[in-house]
Amino acid sequence: MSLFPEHNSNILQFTPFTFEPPPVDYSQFEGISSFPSSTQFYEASVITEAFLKEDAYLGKGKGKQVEENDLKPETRKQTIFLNPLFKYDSNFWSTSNQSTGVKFHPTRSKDFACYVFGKEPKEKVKKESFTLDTQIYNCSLVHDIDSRRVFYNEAFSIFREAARAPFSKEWREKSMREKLLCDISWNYVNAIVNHIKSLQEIPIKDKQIQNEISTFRDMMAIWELCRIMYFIKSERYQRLSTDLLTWLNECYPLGEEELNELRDSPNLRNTVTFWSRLYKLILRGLFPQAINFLRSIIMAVEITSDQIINREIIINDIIQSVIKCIKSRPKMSSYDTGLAWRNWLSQCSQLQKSIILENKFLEENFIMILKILSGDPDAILAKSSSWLEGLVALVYHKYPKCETSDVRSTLGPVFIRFSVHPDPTSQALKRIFYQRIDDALSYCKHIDPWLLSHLTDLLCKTDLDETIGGKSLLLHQHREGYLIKFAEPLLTHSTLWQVGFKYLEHCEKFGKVFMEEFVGKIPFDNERKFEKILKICEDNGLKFDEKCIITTMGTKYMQIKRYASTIIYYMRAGKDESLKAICNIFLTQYVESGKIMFSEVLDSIPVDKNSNESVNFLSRYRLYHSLIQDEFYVQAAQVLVECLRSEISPKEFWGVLLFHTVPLMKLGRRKGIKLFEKIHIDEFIYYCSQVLDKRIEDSWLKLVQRMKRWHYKETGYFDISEDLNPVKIECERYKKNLEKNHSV
Amino acid sequence: MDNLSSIYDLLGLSTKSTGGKISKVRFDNTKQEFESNEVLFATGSWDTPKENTLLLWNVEQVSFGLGEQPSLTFSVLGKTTHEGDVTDMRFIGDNILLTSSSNGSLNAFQIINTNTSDFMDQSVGTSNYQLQMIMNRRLHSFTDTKNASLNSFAIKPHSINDPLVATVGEDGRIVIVRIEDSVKDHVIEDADASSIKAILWPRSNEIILANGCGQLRIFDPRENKPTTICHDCCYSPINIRVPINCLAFHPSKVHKVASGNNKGGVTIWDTRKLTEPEKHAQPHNSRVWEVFYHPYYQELLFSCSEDGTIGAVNFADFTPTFSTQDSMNAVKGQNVTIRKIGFKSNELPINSIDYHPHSKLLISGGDNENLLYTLI
Repeated sequence: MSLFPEHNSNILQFTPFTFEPPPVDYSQFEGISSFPSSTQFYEASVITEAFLKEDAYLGKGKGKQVEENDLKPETRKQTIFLNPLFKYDSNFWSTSNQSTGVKFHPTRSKDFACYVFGKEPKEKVKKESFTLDTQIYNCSLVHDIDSRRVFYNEAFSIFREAARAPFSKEWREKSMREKLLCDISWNYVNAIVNHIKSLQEIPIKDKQIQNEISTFRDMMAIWELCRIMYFIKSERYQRLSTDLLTWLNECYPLGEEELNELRDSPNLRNTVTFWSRLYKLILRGLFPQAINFLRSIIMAVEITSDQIINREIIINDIIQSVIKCIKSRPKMSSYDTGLAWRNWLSQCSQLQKSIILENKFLEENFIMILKILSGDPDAILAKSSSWLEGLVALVYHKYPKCETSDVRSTLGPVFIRFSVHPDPTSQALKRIFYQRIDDALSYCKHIDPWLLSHLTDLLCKTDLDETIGGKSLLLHQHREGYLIKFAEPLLTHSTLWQVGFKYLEHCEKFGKVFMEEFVGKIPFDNERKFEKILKICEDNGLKFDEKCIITTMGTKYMQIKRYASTIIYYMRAGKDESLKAICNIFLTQYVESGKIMFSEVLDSIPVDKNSNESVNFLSRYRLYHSLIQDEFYVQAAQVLVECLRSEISPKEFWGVLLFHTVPLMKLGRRKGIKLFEKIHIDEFIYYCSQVLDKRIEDSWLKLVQRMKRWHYKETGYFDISEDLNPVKIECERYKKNLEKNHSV
Repeated sequence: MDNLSSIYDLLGLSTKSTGGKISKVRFDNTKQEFESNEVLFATGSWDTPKENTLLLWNVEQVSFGLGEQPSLTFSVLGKTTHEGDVTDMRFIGDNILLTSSSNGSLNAFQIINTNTSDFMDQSVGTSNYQLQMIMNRRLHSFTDTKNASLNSFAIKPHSINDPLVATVGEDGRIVIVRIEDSVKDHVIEDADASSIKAILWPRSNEIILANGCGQLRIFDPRENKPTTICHDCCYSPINIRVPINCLAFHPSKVHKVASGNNKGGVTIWDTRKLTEPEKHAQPHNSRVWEVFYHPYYQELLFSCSEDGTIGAVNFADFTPTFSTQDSMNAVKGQNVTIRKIGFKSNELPINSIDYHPHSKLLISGGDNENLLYTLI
């Protein structure tokens, strides 16, 4: 099942990419044209299938040109920067043969490492030899996550707010829901603006930062347009035209170049640039600036009979009339705009007819301004510099009261006059105006995964299905795929991995699958980070991964022989077999040395009845030794019987426990204390037979040999033997003693 | 996941970007300048390989009058890199900031007021302070090549002029050092067989440790063996072996200690009678990373947790309610008032909190890379 269903899956889109070129003349390269700043890719090493996911395609070959691409409208060239920047050293590299090797990251399909290799200069070496740059360059097909850390954190907080919104009281009411969505959308825009500001504050802006600023501006333009077109509906009363105008002026502001030219101009009235700028100001509804512009061409004259001066007075009057006309334009927020608007249009028309000047250049320009103001589509589109300017001006001046659904009908004349640039942003904007949101989002894919995923998520929360298309939109199906695509690089990021997992929590279908794949791959070198990783497993019911991670931690401690921590972690993971193995290590240590080495370890582990049986056994066995040391023989005998009866320890160790019974039985006989019952003695004899079972003979014999090194008469113990005779003899004696006492 | 609990009382914690996940926040409580509106504090980051940072901050309060919330202006005064995650931090006298690291080292930074533009750090704005490392000692390791995280440190009471510092780490050792000397005063090799999470030094002859197995251990620093070992099995049987992550002093009663555990519980202990904990509450549903007592309202215990919230537990009305069932809900003190403080929709962990009583400012930092603060 594909996570990313396509309209037409046959079309494999190609994202060509290049490397930042070192200062070399590539035209002299034989067989290799314009490496590396071309749309061609040279494969020198491994190309993984992972890379061939959705929007990139690479062929295979060895150091040769492998694929050429046709520039489709959807294709965008992407420059990949080597990190750190590659510095060409002509003393080191031959200018005639040089290439770049690529290795892809094992888990991150869009990250790879590069290295440069090639021939050394002939002047330097006599024989032809290949050399390899010692520097490994990190590259990523995705943006630099580190520089976006603050933005991603801020955006995640808003994403969570959006996720919670449907659970709030306000959500039930339609108007409140729209307000909530608008607020959330506004918060996203604020986050984008803040990031642009922080990028602009960087003193030295390299190409990468400039690209980032440009991407974020595109994101802002698309997001804001969506907000205007889709999120604000019932709350707005004839506000679309002004909203669009504000959007255009904020996202695509007028440049300052024309102003610099005009500053040096001696006669503004006759300067084409002046009028061109003035048209733009009028088209964009920037009326205060337009009025200032018009005032700047009013000439101070005295009333005389001089014909030239009178002409100036007439021009000044016309300028004043145009300014008055601009000032009197009705504001579209008032309720009586219909009547006011018609009145104002007739005033405009009258003024237009009354303008007759000797200077035809001026006359044409004044008439054109009035035509724009009165919404003449030809005049508007003729003077617009782009389709966006033309469209927004048309809506503002011709259809100031139009609704979002009406915008589509105004697009026809705009696209007859203008062609839309094939870049993804322009294409996406065009489709937003057409209200083809699914298509628009498919272009956002080429702009930024953050934009795509977050915009889709928020749009899914609106009632777009009802308002546009009247059918189920594809974005609902795509939402989760887009979110996963965005979150995937975060999962392996050294800092933002928690945010990545939080995003996956909102992907109901596939989120858990991705979590399972990545959670075990997060490196941890201390317990605090380990606990944070475990929390992710706990929150998402990843029981198996949780156990694996705890086991890894336990094993890490096992390797450095920190047994208390190992036991704790293995207990948490339920690793009973491993705990049994640790238990056996401790018992072996006892057999070797006769000392309880694990006392401190057990001190650190509170044990209860629910604890693992091996650990419980160790705890009881240690208790037995403490009781013996403190001369609590009756209790010690009880604990020893418990240890034997539990049958938890390895069978050969039962022999050791049986050896422990000998001094207690002797003591019991000597002092006449009943430490064991008759049934216990019978059990001891049974256990003796079990220990002497042929099947465990080898391990039993080895154990006795090791124990004999310290367990003999001279060290205060008794002499032990492989056949357990001391135990058997003592059992017989104790039994007889019991019977004797009983008969007495 | 999306249940909005009724006790979830969101207060307006504002945010400042710090450029890294914050692991510690600490006020400089060494200076008592009541006339000054400026308060210094430091933040330390974690999980930013090769570029963990220490930031020295200044917060200035401007009051607009009675009843009005003062306006707070935060600014970064100085910045330096920190090797390894910052695991603990404390200001000591003579403008020294002590930090501990996940690479097992104890560091001391001298705060130097340069007042010149030479030390301006462009990335953090105006900076008149330099944080100069004056000590870096690797004290905790498993082997010669494998470092153990230094989890916490405590300073011997009344030794501020020549501070004696006890450090604990994942290697289960207590190392007692003097800042001035390069020699380790005393090393208790096997203070704990598991990792030690937190340490307190309330009295000259008493060091309290919390370990990864849910135990509290009391040591006489002159001895190598603990005098008392106890664990929380009274209020919640499920708390057995649940790691204790943090400890805090009571502001006036030297025998009272608060702890926070891995399951979101906070416990009050009386060190004179450690057979069972004194009080227990469950303000969080996940790991508690830090606790502290309010300096004036001494029954009020603040905690911060992996669940992304700050809890304020009022133990004034605590009446113990014991249960025979092994249920988390059944064992907490029912009469305890718990108030939760959070930031917007933040779900990312809050790792550290601190309170400045004079300015009534509570600051906290966590994994959302923001400094969160509120006036309480």
